[in-house]
Amino acid sequence: MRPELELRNLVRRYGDETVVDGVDLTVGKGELVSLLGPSGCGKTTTLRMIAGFAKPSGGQIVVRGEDVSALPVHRRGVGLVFQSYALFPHLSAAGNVAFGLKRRRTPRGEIAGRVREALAKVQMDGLGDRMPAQLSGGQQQRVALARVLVLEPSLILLDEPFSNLDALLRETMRSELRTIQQRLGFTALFVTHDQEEAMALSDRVAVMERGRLVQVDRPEVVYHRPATRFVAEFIGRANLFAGTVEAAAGGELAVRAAALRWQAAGTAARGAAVDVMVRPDCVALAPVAAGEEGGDPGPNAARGEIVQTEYLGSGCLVTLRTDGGERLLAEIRTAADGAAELVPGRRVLARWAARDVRVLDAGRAGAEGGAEAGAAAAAALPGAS
Amino acid sequence: MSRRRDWPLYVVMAAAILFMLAPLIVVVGASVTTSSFLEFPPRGFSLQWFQAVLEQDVWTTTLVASLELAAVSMAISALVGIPCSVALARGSFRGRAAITAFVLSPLMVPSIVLAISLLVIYSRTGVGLPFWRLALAHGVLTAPYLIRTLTAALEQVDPALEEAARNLGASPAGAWLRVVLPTVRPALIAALFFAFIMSFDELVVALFLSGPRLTTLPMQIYGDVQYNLSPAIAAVSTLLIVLTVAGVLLIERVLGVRRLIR
Repeated sequence: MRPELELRNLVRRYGDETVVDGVDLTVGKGELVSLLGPSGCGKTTTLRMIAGFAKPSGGQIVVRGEDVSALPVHRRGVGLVFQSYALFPHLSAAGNVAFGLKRRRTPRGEIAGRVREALAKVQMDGLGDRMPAQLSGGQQQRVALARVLVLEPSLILLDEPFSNLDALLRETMRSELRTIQQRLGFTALFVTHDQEEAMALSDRVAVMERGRLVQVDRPEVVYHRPATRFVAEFIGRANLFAGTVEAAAGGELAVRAAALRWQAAGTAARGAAVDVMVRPDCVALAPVAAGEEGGDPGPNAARGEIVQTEYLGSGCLVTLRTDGGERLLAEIRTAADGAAELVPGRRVLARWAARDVRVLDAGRAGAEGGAEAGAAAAAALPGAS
Repeated sequence: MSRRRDWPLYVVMAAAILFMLAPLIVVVGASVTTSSFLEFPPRGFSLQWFQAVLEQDVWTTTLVASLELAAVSMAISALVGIPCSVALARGSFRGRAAITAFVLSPLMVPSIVLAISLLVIYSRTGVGLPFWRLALAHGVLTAPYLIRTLTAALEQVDPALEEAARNLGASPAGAWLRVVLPTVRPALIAALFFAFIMSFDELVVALFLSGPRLTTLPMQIYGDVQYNLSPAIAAVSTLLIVLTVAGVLLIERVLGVRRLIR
């Protein structure tokens, strides 16, 4: 099937600065893809190029097989929901929704019905007469969506649409958006800097760093098998350590990172500098009994003392100081057996499975490894000082 | 804050209001006097001077002339000022700062200087029609006010509004006409109103450029003050105050301008 949107080697430069640097992305029909990255990574510029507000310096934007790069904004037929909603303050909610229909010379008799229908889709029935200033943030958001939906575009772009809402409303709105998107079957490209939002909402997440896409995959793959150190750190919490490959055989690696020994699947040359990563929710904790102290805990394990616990609701984030001096994060379920015993000062044994370890090419020369390893380990753990 | 400790504020506010209203009180007071000199406080109470004003053709003729002049110069001001404001607010082109300074320069030039230079220009080029000479001059004089007010308002408009309009299918011009300009409607109306009033009570340039065939209301008042000093002038001024207040109320009601002055 023909993809809804294809970006081919898309480039945007401002003077000497390359903001978008060769982005290739294919979005299938009915798919919701998030463009995720820190501010200044070029995600909004990419979106603006697709909408037609910025001219690409190179590459192609193909919508349903047609190169639209040269088309003016109002001929692109791509819906855009703005971060600021951009509702027209002098028009009522219904007037805002009708705006696009009028520009398309929709017959007068048809407009009222379609406006009502669009407002109903976003649960704004009966509020069409309100002016934007009389609507709450969530309601304005709904009108902004209805204003785009009424034109029935097959591709809708959303630029951080929930960033101006409070936390609770944001979650409601994002699940509502997902429901509407799946029911109506439009394709959506969603720009956000909020990794949680991207993971919760998307079929696929496209992670962007300094103008380039570094990984495009399903949320769980991006989370558990990040392609680069940047992705590992940007998406969720990570225990990330710089290390050296000590042995490699049959797709298995043994890595030493600081005072910890790691085993994981992967291929790398012996002596190569790598980063190893395990997510806090893959680390299990068990209290250490008095007789179990001393001796080597084995690979993918460490003994240590609990420094801090942060209650997150369903889970609890535990910070350990291992006997080797590293900081290690573990996220445990609050309801799990023995969770109540995990209090600061308690000695515990942390364990994780080899399949949960991700080995990343550190992309640095072996000689520099020592100096950078310490800095990298410190940077990987929030709260390390 | 307690009300008790606010009293110095109220005193200052009352003084300020009194200071601003004082000229109006004096003028209205002087207009109802029974004597034949312009004086305050008035002696007795009568409407004889209002009657005198309404019976003299010269006041209605000059009033109509001034209203026409104000309307035409406001139109000229709008014709020049609106596109200029749009360009200054949204355009990013070379020399934008210089052009801004240039179009706003009549604000800084004393009107007497402007009057003299226009007189020289007109006598060289031979523009003979006094009404149009003056209307053009007033257009030059009032356009900067309109441009400044409107540019400030346009700069406040979220650029996303224009983009949203474009995204929904409006052409570049359509986005401006249907979204951006309506958004600044209160400021636009206020700016036009100021342009109108400025032209309406402008005296210096009018004295220099009008010639014998055209007399505006401020010129008539000025002349009368010089030779007569009769309370009729106070009566005319009172009528103008009433007209102005009525105009503001009308705009407020009909066009719904709640923030006429921002």
